[in-house]
This record gives sequence, C-alpha cells and structure tokens, in this order.
Amino acid sequence: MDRAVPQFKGFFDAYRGGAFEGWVWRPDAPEQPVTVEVYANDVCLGEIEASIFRPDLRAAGIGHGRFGFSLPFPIDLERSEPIRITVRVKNGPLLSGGETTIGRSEPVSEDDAAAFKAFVAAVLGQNNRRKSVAERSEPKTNFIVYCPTGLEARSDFLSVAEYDYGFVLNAFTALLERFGQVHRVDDPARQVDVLHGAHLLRGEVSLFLSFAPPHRTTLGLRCPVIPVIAWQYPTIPSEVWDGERRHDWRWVLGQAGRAITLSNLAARAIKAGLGADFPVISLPTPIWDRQPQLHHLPVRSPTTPAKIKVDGFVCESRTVEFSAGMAAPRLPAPGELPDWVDLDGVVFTSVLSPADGRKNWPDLVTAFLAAFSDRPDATLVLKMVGDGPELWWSDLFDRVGRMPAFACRLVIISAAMDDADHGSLIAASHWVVNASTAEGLCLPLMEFMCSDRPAIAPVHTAMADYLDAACALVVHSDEQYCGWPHDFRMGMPATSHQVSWSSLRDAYVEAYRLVMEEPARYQALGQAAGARMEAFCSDAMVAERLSSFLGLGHLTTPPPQASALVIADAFA
Amino acid sequence: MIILEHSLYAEKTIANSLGLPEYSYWFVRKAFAPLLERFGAVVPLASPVEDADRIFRSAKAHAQDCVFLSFSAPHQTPTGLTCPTVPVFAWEYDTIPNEAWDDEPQNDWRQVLRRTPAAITHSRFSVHAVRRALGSDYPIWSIPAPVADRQAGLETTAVGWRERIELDISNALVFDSWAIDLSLFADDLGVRSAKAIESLQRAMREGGRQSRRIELGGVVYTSVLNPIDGRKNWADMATAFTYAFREEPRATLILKTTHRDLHKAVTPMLQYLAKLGRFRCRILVVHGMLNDSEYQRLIEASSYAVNTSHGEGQCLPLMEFMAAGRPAITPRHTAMLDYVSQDNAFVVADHHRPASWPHDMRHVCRCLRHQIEFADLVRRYRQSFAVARDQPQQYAEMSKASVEALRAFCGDEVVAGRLGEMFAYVCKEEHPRLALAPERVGSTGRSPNAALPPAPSMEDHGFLVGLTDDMLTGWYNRDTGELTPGFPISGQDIVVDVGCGDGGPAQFCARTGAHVILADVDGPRLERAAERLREEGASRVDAYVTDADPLPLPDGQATRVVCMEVMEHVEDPAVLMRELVRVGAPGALYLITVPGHVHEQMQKHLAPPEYFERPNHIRIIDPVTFEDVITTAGLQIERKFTYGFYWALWWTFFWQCSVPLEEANRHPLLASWAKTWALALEGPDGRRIQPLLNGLMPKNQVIIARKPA
Repeated sequence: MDRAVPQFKGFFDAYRGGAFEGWVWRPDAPEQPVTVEVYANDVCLGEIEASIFRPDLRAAGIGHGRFGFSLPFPIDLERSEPIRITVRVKNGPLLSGGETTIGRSEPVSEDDAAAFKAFVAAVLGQNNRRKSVAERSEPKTNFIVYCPTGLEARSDFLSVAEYDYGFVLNAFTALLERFGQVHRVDDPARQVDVLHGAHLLRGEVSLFLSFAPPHRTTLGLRCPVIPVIAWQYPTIPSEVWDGERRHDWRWVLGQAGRAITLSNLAARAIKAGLGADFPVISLPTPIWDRQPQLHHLPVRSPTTPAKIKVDGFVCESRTVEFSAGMAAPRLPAPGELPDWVDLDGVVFTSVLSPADGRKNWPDLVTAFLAAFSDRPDATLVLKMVGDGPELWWSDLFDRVGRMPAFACRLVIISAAMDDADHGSLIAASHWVVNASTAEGLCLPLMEFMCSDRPAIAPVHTAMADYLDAACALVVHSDEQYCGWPHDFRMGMPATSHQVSWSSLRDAYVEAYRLVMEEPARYQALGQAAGARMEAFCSDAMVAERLSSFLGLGHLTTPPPQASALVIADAFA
Repeated sequence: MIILEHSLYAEKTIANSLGLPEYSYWFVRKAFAPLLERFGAVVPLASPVEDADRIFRSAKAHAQDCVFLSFSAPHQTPTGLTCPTVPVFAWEYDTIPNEAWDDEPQNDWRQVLRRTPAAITHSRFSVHAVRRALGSDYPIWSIPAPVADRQAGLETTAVGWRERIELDISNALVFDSWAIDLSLFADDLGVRSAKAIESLQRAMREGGRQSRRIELGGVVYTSVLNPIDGRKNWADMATAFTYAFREEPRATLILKTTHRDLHKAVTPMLQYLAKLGRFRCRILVVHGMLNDSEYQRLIEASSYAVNTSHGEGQCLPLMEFMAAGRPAITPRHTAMLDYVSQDNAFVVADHHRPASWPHDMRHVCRCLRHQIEFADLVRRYRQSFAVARDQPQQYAEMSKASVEALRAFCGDEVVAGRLGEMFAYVCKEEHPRLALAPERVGSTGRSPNAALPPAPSMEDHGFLVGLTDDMLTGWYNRDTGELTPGFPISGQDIVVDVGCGDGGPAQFCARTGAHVILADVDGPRLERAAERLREEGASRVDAYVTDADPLPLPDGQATRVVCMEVMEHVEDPAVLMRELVRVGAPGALYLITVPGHVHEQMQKHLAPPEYFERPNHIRIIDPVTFEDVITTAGLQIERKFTYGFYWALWWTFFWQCSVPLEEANRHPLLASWAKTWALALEGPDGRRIQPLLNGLMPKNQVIIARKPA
C-alpha cells in the first residue's frame, strides 16, 4: 500500500428501493467524508457524500459508522434494459462490487425504454451546472398531495363513511402554495418516491400529505408521509381482522409517525389510541379565504324571490304529489328538467350525501314538514351530492309520502353546480341545516357560515369545534352507542349522537320566526357565524399552526451533499 | 246489573297467545274482575255478536241493567249491538286513528266512539287524545286496572341492596349471562348456514335452564315485557345497562319476557346481547308464564322496575312493581305521567319522534312516540345503583312515594268510584243498588271517606248467573218470543200460570202483551206478582188465589198453560192435570215442569226434613211417571228436556251453608260457585258442558205438550 495515496475501504451494496446504496471510508482519515459517483453506461447519474450513519458499520468497528451513502434514483432502473453500473469514489478507485449490471434481460416495454432514453438525453443535454454552496438557497419544501377519488374511494366498508377529501385537499392546496410547491398525484405508490427522489437531488424537502383514512395510507415510502384524517368517533379502530394490519389505525399512524386531523375529536381519538404525546394536530379546513367574494353576503328578504340555475335533477313538492303507498314517479328525463329554480319565502338549505346514513336526512326532512305543515312560505332545499338520484329517490318519496299533508315546500336538487351558482344558492338561503349523528367534518355548514348564514345543527363531534348558540340554533342531541360502520362483529365501541327530532322541529319553527319577526337578531346570528369562521379557518390562522407543526422553514432531514446536477422533470 | 265482558284472548287461549297483538287485554280484564263483581254479575262472552243482545233483552225483561264491556281496541269493538257497549282500551299515542283506511270505517275510531255510549281507557293522556278528536265533553273515563291494593304488604320487603336473595323459577326458561357463553349466540354477519342455525339451536337448548333456583345479590333491576313489541325498546334498556355497569358485578337486570314463541322472542335478544362485548354485570332473560306466587316473588326480589318504552297505554308490570314499593327507572310520558314523579322514580329524559299507529299497515306518520335519551338512561342507572347501595334512607322514601302514588292512582276505591260513575252514566240513572254517598260521585271519584260501597242487595250474583244460565239455555228469548224453545207467546195469547210464585215466567208473557191469568195459593205473593205484571204491559192481568182444585176458570179459554214446579206439591197430580187440561183451549200449549228426580233424591240426604213435607215437595217424580201423567191426561208431548244443573248444585251447597235464603248468594261458597259456573260457560266448551250437565243432574224436568185440537 502506497502511503502517499489515500486509502479507501467500502462496498457498493446494491441498487435497491430505487437507490444506490453502500458505504466507503478512509481508514486513515475517518473525519473526511468521501464522495461517491455512480455511472450508468458511463453516464454520470450523480454523486453523493457518504455520511449516513450505519449501525452495522459502527458495530463492525468501522469508526463512528457514518459512512453510508444512498443515492436515490427516480427511475426504476430494474425495469430498464440492462445497464452497466459503475460506482466509484469520486476521482478515485472503483468500490468493491462497484461494477455490476442491472436491469431486466427480457425485453422492456417501449414506455420504459423511451423513458430511460429521454432521461439520458436530458442528462446529456443539460449543462451540468454545479452551484456553489453559497449559491444554494434555503431548501424549498415540496408538498405531494393525494386523495382517493371515484371508484377507489368506495371500495370497502369504511368508504361508505368516507368524506369527500377532494374539497379538503383543494382548500389545503391553496394554503400550502404559500409555503412551497404542491404536486398532486393519483397513484402514490408509484409516484411519490419518484418525486421525492427528484426533489432530494435538487436539495429540496418533500412531504407527502395523504388526505385519506389511515387504512388507505400508502406506507413504505421513502418520502415522509403525513395522513390528513377526518374521523367522527372518539376512538380509532384498533383491531386487526381478516389478517389486515392496516385496520389497526394505531399501527398505520405509528408507521407514519405523525398525523393531521380535521377535528379536535379525531385528534383526541388518536391520542387516546397512541398516547398523549403522539404528534397530532387538528387543523380546520382553510375555506375562509378560498371564496372571499362570498363573505358577508347580504340577506335576501323572504318576499324577494331568487333564481338559482341548476343543471341536473330537480324535483319539488309543488309539482310532485307525495303520497304513501304509491310507487315513486319515474325520474324525469334530462330534457324534462327545468334549468332554473325559483326560491322564495324563508329558505332552509342542507347539502348532504344521502348514501351516508349519518347525515340523517329523514329526520331533517320530516321535522321540517312537521314544523311547517301549514306554512307555504317555508322552503327546504336539499342539495344531494354523490350518486343518485336513482339510488335514493324512491326512499325519499316514500318517507315524505308517509307524513301528513303539508303546505310548505320541499326542493330537491341533485346536480352539478359551479361556484357561481352554488354561491347564489347560499345567497338565497337563510339557514343552513344539519341533523347528523356524527361528523368528521361538515364543509357545507362551514361554507354557509362563511357567508353569514347561521346554522341549525347539533353541537357534537367536529361541529363542536366551531358551533355554539352564538352563531347557531342548537339542536339537542345525546350520546348513543353504536357499532363501527365497517365492522358488524365488534361490540359497540363507537358513539354517535342521536338528534332530538322534536328539538329539531322546534329549532325550525324558531328559525322561521326569527327571520320574520326578529330580523335584527337573525342578522346578528349570521354575522356572528361569519366572524366565527374567519377566526376559525382563515389562512392566517391555519397556516401558522400548520407550519409550526410541520417545522416548515426548517429542514426535516439533513440534506445530502448531493451534486447540484439539475435534472429536468422529464417525467413530472 | 249484568256485566258482559269479552276480550279476544281468554283464559284458555292466553297461554298460546302471549305476545300476539291484543294479548294484554286479557291481563287487564283479569285485573278488573274482582272490582267489577261489586257492580253486578260478570258474565264472560265467547261470541259477543251472537249473545250480547239476547242476554241484554232478557235482562231488561227482568228489570236488570246490562252493559257490555269490550276489552278491545275501538276498531275491534262491535258497534251494532242494542246492548250498550263500552270499549275498554289502552292507547299510548297523542292522536287517535281518524282515517278509514282499507275502506274500513271502523279504522276511524271517531266513527266507532260516536256510536258507543261511553269508553274506558287507562290514563289521562289517552283521555286527552280521545277528547282532542271528539270534543272535551266526550264521555270517556280513565280507569286504571286496580293493581295497587293487591300489592299491599309487599312494600315492607322493598329494599335497595341485598346481600343475597333466592328466586325460584319453575315454569320458565332462564338464560343467565353468568352461566352461558353469550358468544355462542353471536350473529356472524347474519350468516344463516345450516351449521350456524344448528349451533344456535343447541345454544338455546343448553342455555335455558328450567326449574332453577337463582341466587341474586346487590341491586336487582327488573322489567316485564314482550320482546317482539318494538315499542318496549329493550335494546336500549340492555345496552345502557351494560354501559353503566360494565365493571360492576353487583348489578343485575332481569328481563322477564312474555311471548308464546321462544325462538322468535328470546333468540334475537341473546344475539343482541352477544354484540355488547364483555360485561361484568349480570343479565337474566326469564321466559315463560310465572304463576301468581312466583311473580310476586320476582317483585319481592327486585330493587327497581325499569321501563324504556316509546309509550304506554297502561304498563301493568310497572304499576305492580311500583305499587309494591319498587321505585322505577323510567321516562315520564304517556300513561306514566299519572303516577311517576321525581319522588318515586329516576326519570329518564326523552324526546319525540314521528310514529305511526301500530295497527296501521300503511305506516304513515300521524302521531308522535317517545325516544329515551340513551346517555341519560346510563346516568339514571348509575344514580339509582348508588342510592340503593349507599343511601337506604332515600331509597326507603322513594319506595314509600311509589306505593302512595300508585294507591292514589289505582287503589280499589278510586277505581270503584270511577267504575260506578261510568256505569251510572251508561245506565242513564244513578245506580240504586250501590247507594253511593253523594260526595263520591265526582270527577275524581275519590272521597276522603274512602268507604267501600255496600255490596248489591237485590242483584245477587248467584241469581244473575242463574238467570244468565237460563237465558243461555234458551229461556226468555225476546227475539223469538219463546219463553222456552218450543213455547212461543204473543200478544194474542191467553196465558194461565198455575203456581206462578213471584211471576218470573209470567212477566215474560206479560211483556209480549198477552192476557195473563195468575193462580197461586199464596195471596200476598200473588198480589205483588199481579201488580208487577200490570206495570209490565200485559193487556190484562187476572189473579186468583186458589189451590187449583178446582181452578176458578172457564173451560177451554187458555191458549197457553204454564205450570212450573207445582206437581210435586199437590196431593193428586192427576187431579191437577185434569184441571189444567180443562181450562186449556183445543190446540193450547202446555209448559209443565217438575224437579229433577236425581237431585231430589240427593236432597233427601242434605235438606232438612221439612223440605219433603207439606206444603213442600211431597213426592219425587221420575221421568217415566212424569210422562205418564201428562199423556194420561190427554196431552200430546211435543218436547221434553231437562236443565238447571247450576241450580241443582246451588241448592246442594245451600244446604251446606246454612244461611237464610236472602243472604245465600253472598256466602263465599255460593258466590264462588256462581263465579265458577260463569267461567265454565265461557268459551265454546261451555256451551257443550252446560247441556251435558243439565242432562246429568238437572234441577228441573220440562215437558211441552199440546192439547189436541
């Protein structure tokens, strides 16, 4: 061994999990980290400093053990055509095991071959600029966001109780853009780590925010994952069944390490399952700043009619005769549907998914019909979301038909409405109504309140975070024990809240009276609702709490001394 | 007064009908029976539509009031009867059915109730519901079943906490959560494989023990209910119990279920309990009919009664337990408003929900029911447990308040007062025999001087039962005008009644407008009888004091000749017959009766000797001789029969009682015999038993014969 030449000892372990891994040190100068380069077919893929702590090295007496390296690579090279890989010390010798071939021997798909070629071209085509340390700016944070959509969102028992995380994700996206770049993916298992790797090579931090219940959270990623959860019960599922460990949310959340919830109740439930010091925070969905044009909407006088545009199913009691024992009339064909709905009188509106039993729409509707059986100027607008109306139309017809004859008006809408039309519905309404037995989140309630529309609702679960008698007519409810929605075989560990039908009916009556006889007090309630929403879920409020929880502005992992090779997002 | 009563299920059929709709009406009827007997003879009817009016008219012919109490809901109450019909029904909703669905006018209860002279229900709540529909002056009474006084005496055993008490159950199945593995009943996602069903059945067989001695301790909560009646809401009752006492082994809930079908009733309960997870408290399901003493023992072993229902028209078990000093855990609504308060119960909060009338298969929402608040029920369980265990003084006060409230609500004198008002109203006169003190006839029916009304003096139950028995045999049939089948009377007839006595048969004849000629040896009695007859509307009444030898009557005048219970008295039957035949017109009908010879023979050993000496029965006439005497006199026999077993035994017992005749029917033995006979007549078998026994040992032999034209 020549004393003048630096001695290196190390191995290239393998290309695994999408990264080149190994270790190398200078036994004669252990405090000087070594830089390693990786070549693919003689193209340099990147370089990295070997300074990751490896307990096995330490145990083997290899100094302090901080000699590992892991160079992530965003394309799954295993799927490419065979590539010759060379791993060597920068400006130094080959590492042991540093010459190898990876990739498949069978023919690869054209997509994979093309992707690799494009990558290589990008690498070769780039000016390899190496930024100096001084030029490197504060590492940017990337937020990779995902929520289940469509069929995927309805594929298991819990899905019936699932929320439309899409709206939540949109609201948070706008907020997150104040802190960094937001990337939305639709296949986390395939896409998150690709992006994470690319960001890492640029010296940037990534966080994966998974807007989905824990059992749907993608685990095993290199990118840190934070589940963002809505949950309506005071305890979290903690048992394994069907051999599926994911059903024990404690395990999933333990793997993730931290969580964000959309209500205090859910945060408490997680702490109850994982300990009081588990890092979880409850954040309101930041909808206040999303539609500022809807703030402080002026109140419509009951005698002033409003026209609402609808593009879809509309049905109402002035044209349909509801009666018991008759089959529901057939659903109108699209050409038979009106484009507009005229609203007048005192309007109560509720936006809900009738497939979700917790929304308790039968009570919501029958209490209205009982409260206003003799009042033609009281209207309930039910905006149905989710599938339908063929799924719920005959059930609704049957239930309404069973009630005694009524003079009030029932309007049912199941249609897509753009923001402007939805805004005009809010403007035309006087009260927003909720009669749920449990909520993990109720965005419609919050939306209406942002527009100074007070609520008729029980105060429990998620609604307890922002509702009280100052901005709502509180409907009495009491705790009721029930089973999980997804597991019939359990005992009854969950609680929901039975809403008092008679209290709801009385609240409707009082709400009507306030609009007609005490407009000043009604308006004060509405303004209090708006003020409450601003204090509760404005961006300023949420952003502060989010950043302190995530430690944004600080790096969550030490950035590798990676090369400043800029790799174009050929595959973004 | 004759009180006819009917319910869909009766003593015979109740055991097989437990849990069916309307079954509870039988229990109510049974509870009312002792008090009703103070007002008149209680005659159960098997077929009201067929029998009620006949008996009513016959009763009226004897100046008797007759009221039909139909223990049934209004839509099942017959309304076309002449006999005043009063429905006795329980109702727990704020509105009464007021729509004639299925084209059935009776479904609109207003139609029915407008046609009945009055109605009886069991709570102020129901009274208000009816009056909201029919007007605030509609004659409906809240008359709860008088269960309170029967529980007097048990209140001294009421104690909240017991170290140990034993309960013997002999005729019921007991499922004990401490003794069986509830997980065997777990309903695995509703799997219905043959294996699952078989293992469930095995679990039921092995789980239910008969003839048990159960050891109880701590605080015992009991509820008696029909589990398939959803209104009882046992699920909340049991679930909240396990939540309140998950770690408390000294709390026991006994669910005493009544239903005829074990599997329909109990299996779902056990499957449900299996879902509640593990609990250290104890739940017992006791399924079957307990006899009276075992039921009382169940009350004794209980600390509290529990109710979680959607509404009650009358909750007999709750009333019984509270009357025995057991405070309740119950909501305060519907019928409970009358007797439940914070002083005697742990009141569970509730709210309203829309509901439909239970027998309305359209399931339309026309009324409200009540839903208890689950979390509040859990609180009340815990609160009551603490009181029972730690505050015996407070428990004792609540117990006392329970007894007092129930006594004030349904003590015997309270209920009797209301019944009296109601009967008086329906019979359109102050009931003379009850001699009610004036202050007692008020809207509350209560008086500070709570003395019992004196027992009726003129309506002897025995007499009335006997009369009813006669009517059921066919006597006094106003519809056909037959005094007895085969012996019709009309206004054209001239009736000679030889040996008329008090004139019962003669009265019947008089009512038809016939010309009645009375003949008897007893002058004063004859006068009274004649007087009565004139009032009854006979076209003409003549009365002769005579010993019938000869009869002071011309030849061939009478078209009907009645001679009942005379032949055994006279010196020479042939002489009597000659005179009877002489006064009869050609073609005249004869009704002749003599005592039954078998019974007469038996009376020889029982009756005092003067019974068989002049002027009483001086001979015993056997059937062959009886026929002979008639045919020898020249009459043609048209019909022969015997009747009066009831009276035969009555007289047999009478000799044993040794009381004066006027007081005889009040003697317990004779009163009991009257009641026994009334019960025996109930139901289709009663109609067969009666003629069979009438043939075996009748009181009377009857021959209807005709004088040839």
